[in-house]
Amino acid sequence: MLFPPALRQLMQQLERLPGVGARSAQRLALYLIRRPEEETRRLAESLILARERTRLCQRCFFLSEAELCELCSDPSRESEVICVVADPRDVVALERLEQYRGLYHVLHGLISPAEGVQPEDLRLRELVERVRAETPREVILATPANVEGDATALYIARLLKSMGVRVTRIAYGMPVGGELDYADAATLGYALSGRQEM
Amino acid sequence: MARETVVEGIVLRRWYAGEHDKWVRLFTPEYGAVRVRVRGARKPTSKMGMLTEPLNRLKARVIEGRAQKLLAQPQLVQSYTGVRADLERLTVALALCETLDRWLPEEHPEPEVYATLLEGLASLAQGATPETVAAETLWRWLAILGYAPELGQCARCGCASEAENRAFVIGDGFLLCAACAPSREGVPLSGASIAHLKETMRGEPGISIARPDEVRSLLRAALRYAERVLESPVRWLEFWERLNALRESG
Repeated sequence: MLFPPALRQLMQQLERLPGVGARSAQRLALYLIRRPEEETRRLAESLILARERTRLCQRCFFLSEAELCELCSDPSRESEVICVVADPRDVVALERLEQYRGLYHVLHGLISPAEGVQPEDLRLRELVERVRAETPREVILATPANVEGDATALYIARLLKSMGVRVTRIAYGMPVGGELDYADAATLGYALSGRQEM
Repeated sequence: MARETVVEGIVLRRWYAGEHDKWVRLFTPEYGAVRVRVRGARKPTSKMGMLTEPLNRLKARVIEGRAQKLLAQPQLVQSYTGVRADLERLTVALALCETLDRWLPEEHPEPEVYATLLEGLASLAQGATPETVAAETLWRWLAILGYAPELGQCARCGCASEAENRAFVIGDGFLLCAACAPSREGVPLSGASIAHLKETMRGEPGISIARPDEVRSLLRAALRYAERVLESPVRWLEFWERLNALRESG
């Protein structure tokens, strides 16, 4: 390759990012070095700052800069309800709703033995300890509607069964505004099994 | 496989490609296990996302592209919802899918293996005990795929004794009589267990009518033997064994 060594190194580093192939890495690297130096410097500093400052909340394992995240430190949140999610992005998605006022617990993955992810690789031990210590009224399982999400939810329900806490799982099924005729059979099946009393 | 083919099959495994696509390994009776790409399946508006999840039995078009096969217009035939609602059943079903995913070469038809998988999933959905389904299905696959052990006589001394407590020697896939077994690693099998195993290998209801302790020993032998054949453990089976240990420890 004819590019100078420093630029080549940048391309190699960019290529390691998820979803970035060799050509995209080349395009991004060339874009970055063509920008004003100040702009590139700010990007590099932001990258280092985010990496250095971001850590996991000691209570819910969401992303935070302090020992406790903003949500866990907020006294107006309902501490009697814990919503269990697989990924920090799920917290952001649920918070966008502005409906849920409880706390979260981020597992950082789903049980997926075929991919080498076993229960001990998730924040499950911490969840059990937390439920034991905080004795919440309800634990809501908000794992995705796929086989790993199902297995994780069923596994957690089993772990918490003997602890006397109410364990629920979010409903899956028809999208708002969706028509039955257009729904796929799997989604419709989930919607039907999760029907509610009127 | 023609340029465009309508197939029916079970999704053994899926993995993600880029932002919006996913790959699935679809096990069909006519073409064996086929690796196909499902474009746009991960978009929130896609109908194909849910349909192309593991364990789903579906009907779809497979289109031969230049570099890869594409899956289009999937329709759900069966989703085995009864299996998905129970942790043991779900784990065994996924373990069976993982076993086949690793066992089957690309596009090699195995209609008998497919039929056995369908029977296994249907039995799980109808409430059969996961241990029985796992043991029966694994032994039948071992027989169909050419790994049937010699059950008629002791592999060392050749005695045809029907005595109790013969050992199934895992690594080599044969039986030793009680006199020859002690020095070898193996799973002890009773005479009744061996009789049930023979029936199962012939496609008759053998393990399904066995006593729970016989099922457990036959399952243990099947798991170890299948792992030896695959040359590595089946991860969902390992997880299932841990679940059983968790249940037994209370």
